[in-house]
Amino acid sequence: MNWEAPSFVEVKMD
Amino acid sequence: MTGDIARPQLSLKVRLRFDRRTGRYLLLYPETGLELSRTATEIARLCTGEWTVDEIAQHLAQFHTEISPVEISRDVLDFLKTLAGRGLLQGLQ
Repeated sequence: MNWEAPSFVEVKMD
Repeated sequence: MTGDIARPQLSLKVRLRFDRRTGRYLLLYPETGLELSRTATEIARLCTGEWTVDEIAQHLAQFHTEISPVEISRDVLDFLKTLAGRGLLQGLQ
């Protein structure tokens, strides 16, 4: 698996 | 604090959980969550307070030889600073 810049998506805890 | 001595740890209010529905890991904290990319998950899993930033980067570099360790270190530190900025991480100051 290739390295990718770490990232995230914010999700509202509804 | 520099990467050779800082030992980042997820804050007490934060939980790392696997979401079986999406197949991704989430950092959960009150009222909000962060759906993590694969590399973000790899980093977050090592934020136990026992690994230094440098150790985390060196560890991941073993499995990602397609990119220089320097770039991995930079990405790791940037990501950890982002988490710390949201109050999700302790031990990085």
